[in-house]
Amino acid sequence: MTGEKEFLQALVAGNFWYDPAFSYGDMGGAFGTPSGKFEFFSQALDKAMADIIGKVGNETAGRGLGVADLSLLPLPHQETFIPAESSRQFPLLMMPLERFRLNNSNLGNAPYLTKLLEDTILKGDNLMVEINPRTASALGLHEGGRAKLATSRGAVTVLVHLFEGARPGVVFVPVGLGHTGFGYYLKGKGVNPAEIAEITTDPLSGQELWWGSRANLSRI
Amino acid sequence: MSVIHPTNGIMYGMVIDLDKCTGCGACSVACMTENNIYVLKDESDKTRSITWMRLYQVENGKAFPETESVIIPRPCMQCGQPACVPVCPATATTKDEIGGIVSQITVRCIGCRYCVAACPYHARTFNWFDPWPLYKNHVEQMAGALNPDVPPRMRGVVEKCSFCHHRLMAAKARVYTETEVKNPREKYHMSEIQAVPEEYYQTACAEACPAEAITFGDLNNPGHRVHQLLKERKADAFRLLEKLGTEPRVYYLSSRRWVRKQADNYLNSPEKTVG
Repeated sequence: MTGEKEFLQALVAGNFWYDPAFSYGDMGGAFGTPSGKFEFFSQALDKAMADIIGKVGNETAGRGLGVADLSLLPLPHQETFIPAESSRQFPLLMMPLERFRLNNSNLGNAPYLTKLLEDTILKGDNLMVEINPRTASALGLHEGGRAKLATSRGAVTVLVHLFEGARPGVVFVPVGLGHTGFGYYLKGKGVNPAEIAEITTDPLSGQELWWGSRANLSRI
Repeated sequence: MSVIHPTNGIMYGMVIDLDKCTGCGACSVACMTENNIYVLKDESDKTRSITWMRLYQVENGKAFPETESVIIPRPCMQCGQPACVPVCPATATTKDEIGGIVSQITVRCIGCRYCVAACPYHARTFNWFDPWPLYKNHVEQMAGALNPDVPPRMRGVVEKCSFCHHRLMAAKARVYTETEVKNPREKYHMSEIQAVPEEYYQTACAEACPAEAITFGDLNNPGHRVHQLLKERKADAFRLLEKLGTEPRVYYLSSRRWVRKQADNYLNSPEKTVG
């Protein structure tokens, strides 16, 4: 159609009009990949990996890179975070826990939100950590009891809160407290789990991970 | 003893959908800013902490991994048969308002705390401190944020949720100014405005709730959302401690049976204070 008049005529005649769909031709050969679709594959990584495997062998390379399936390495994928092995010294896993009503970014928690914090997160100036009652009884800990939370990087003093919903063998530490600034309402309240968290490196991205550290909780 | 408190057909109430509530605390924060509630340095002692809208976390008591928990926001229940009203020796709290709101006249309160002891919902809190020194010394910027419609309470009096009564006053004033009359003298003789439109009067918590879990309105008015909600979800509705016969005006909705069961099982429930 060229003009407004024809367009109007076509509309009046049929109440609608259509153009035939644009043909792109056969798209099967557009990508030279096995699936014929987009595939993200790093040739450089593949080449580097082949060099490493040639030198040290399949098994050692996999362990060294921290990758379970080597064939996935040149492809975009996700690796499950596997924390350090549980040891006699540090039998538990410490996990930072993000809570509602507790800001854990670089800004401090607002006073009204700090007011709303449970007395099972903050009691006075003491931080409370969540553990399963079964884990607590194995460690000789009780509700509200004072305990030392230790990792290979250091130790802090906390209070213990028993919560059935907590996974056995894991210590959940609320993040967002332990500020040295932010004045009257926040300064010196609680502890920051990042101070004692073990920092490991994500093998794929090289980013730092602090989301799971081996820890021990002992009664004081 | 059962006293029938007149409400003139209007019964303000609240419906809180616990399936929608995420426990974010926006209702409580909105309430505190609206009603000029102060913040102490240490609020972890919940016996000294003043919150009109308090959040409670209730668990189903099952071991991991079957544990479930729910947050119950708890304003004043504005009971039909309030336990706090008959015990007040100063008549500082009454149930004779239009709409059935349990009033709290803090300037009349003598601080005996009988009502605090009588209320089965722990909805009443005592002012252990004067708010002004707190504002003056530590949060001068917060003093500027005070709501001029609500007077701050002094040390030694009891306070509680008022269903944002000042907003009802403002809604009535709005209806008064918007009413068109031929002769201005008619307005002078207008009898007290009773019913106000739903959108004119909403509490701060209902407005702030991001999940729209809190609905507020006249329970007796079929046009109001609260009335319709209770009809639609009759099977899910419950009130806290119904056994006591206090006739709370705050209804909760939950599709979980254990939540409904625990609401009336005060002594044996693993309940903990949140904020």
